[in-house]
Amino acid sequence: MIVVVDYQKGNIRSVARGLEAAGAQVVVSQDADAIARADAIVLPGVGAFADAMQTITELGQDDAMREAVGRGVPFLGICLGLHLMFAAGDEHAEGNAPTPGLGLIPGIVRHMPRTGTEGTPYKIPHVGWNTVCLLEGGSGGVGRSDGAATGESEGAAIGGSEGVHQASSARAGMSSGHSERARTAERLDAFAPTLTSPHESAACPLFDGIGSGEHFYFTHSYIAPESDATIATTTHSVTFPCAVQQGAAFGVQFHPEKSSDAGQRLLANFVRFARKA
Amino acid sequence: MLAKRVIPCMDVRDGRVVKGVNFVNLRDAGDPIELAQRYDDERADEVIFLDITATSDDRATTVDLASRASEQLRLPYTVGGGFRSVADIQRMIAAGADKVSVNSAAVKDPALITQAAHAFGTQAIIVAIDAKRVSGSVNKWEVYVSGGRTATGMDAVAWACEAARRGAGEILLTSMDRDGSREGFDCALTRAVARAVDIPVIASGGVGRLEHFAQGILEGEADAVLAASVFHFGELTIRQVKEDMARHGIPVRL
Repeated sequence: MIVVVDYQKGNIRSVARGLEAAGAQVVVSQDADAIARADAIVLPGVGAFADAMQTITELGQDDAMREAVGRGVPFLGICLGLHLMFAAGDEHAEGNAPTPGLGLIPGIVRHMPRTGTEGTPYKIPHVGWNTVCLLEGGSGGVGRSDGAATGESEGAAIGGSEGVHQASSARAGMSSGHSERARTAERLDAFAPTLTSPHESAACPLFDGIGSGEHFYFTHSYIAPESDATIATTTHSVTFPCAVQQGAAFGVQFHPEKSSDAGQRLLANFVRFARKA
Repeated sequence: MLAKRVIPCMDVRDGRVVKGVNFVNLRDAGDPIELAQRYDDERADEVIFLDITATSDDRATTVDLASRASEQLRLPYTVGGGFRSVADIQRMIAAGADKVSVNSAAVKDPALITQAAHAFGTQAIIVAIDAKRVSGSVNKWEVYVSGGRTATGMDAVAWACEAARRGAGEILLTSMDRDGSREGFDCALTRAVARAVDIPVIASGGVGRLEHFAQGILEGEADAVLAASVFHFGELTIRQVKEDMARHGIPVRL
């Protein structure tokens, strides 16, 4: 039984529908005890960090989720649900200290920069379909290297470059020499159509059968911080983590329930993972 | 890279899809959910249901539509038309709408944008603007409300900026001059607004041919392009449009 956590903030039916379509038995519940007994937990994403966390705490859902994740119960946070997995978030904190989150992963969720590193303005919220770049060996935070981090910051410097290029540069642990070439390639590619095709599967069970470069639907203004848990990234004004994994706990920035075939596949992967766990 | 979006818009009355030509002469094009699913199969990026009756009696029908949509659709959808208060918007969000679009009510009370953005997040609030070129002017457009019947005297670009400042997550910009004309988007209008605001702009009104979509992105600098009847009546498919956009070098999700 998968429990979709209801914290009174709107649309969770789409998520429940997607999980059910993947063959899962789903209960939508606010009840901390139901969450504590769940075989798997999905924390969907609607609303603002501070607001959501307040409701979750009032209902005692936070302890139930922390405790379940601690026992290795499969968990999937979606959009704001991903944000809430982190230590804190500064959405609507309005000058005050960031609001504590569930604290499953270290770091603070912050507003996405409105400009790329070269000063190019980007439209925020980040709304629409963007490519997801799977990091090699992305499972439970292993396989991340300094090289990968360097590749990503180079990616951010390119500013809005294609996710597939990000993938290759992140994997190669790109040097600045490579980055120049990547930039030139980027310029040459600037007017080429984005015809991405699934060509590679990740080690992460969540992305089984989903290629790096696949499009998912995003709608958000805040981004998760870099951490060892990052398993996939997306680039808008900056390159940011769009999927994380910490043991059996996953989080995605995009909305699989709104991402058509690719999203349905990801939800089905989670359901299958939860069955095996 | 963020793909440019193609959005079919369904004008809905009494739970059925209709499309006005210059806001009159409505024709029936079927069930909104079924149509939306067809568009999902064709790789539409999202859909918009615009409630064109939007009297209080009909709101319940539209809330039902939103509920059905959240049960059955696998892509994002927006509901627009007739919202007067945060409570109206709350009802639609609770029914499962990803976003709502507000038009006349936001002009009447701009604080509604701020309140709704604060309550549901900026990403959930689209401000729809119906704009008409001021006669004799090349770069001035006036905002109209009440389904294009009432002039406001407000400048469209200035209003778009205010809406963005107040927390709108996107601007849905319709050229009244072009709507139903099949002459293509008003790219000058679209570009003026797209350059003035730091939020995404959806171009609307005037599509008649395949190349108009790419023009809206390349010349209008829009983040998304919207059309209705060319899709509803099967003159063009979403796929054809996206392939043409890709040929023009525009990033799309194919």
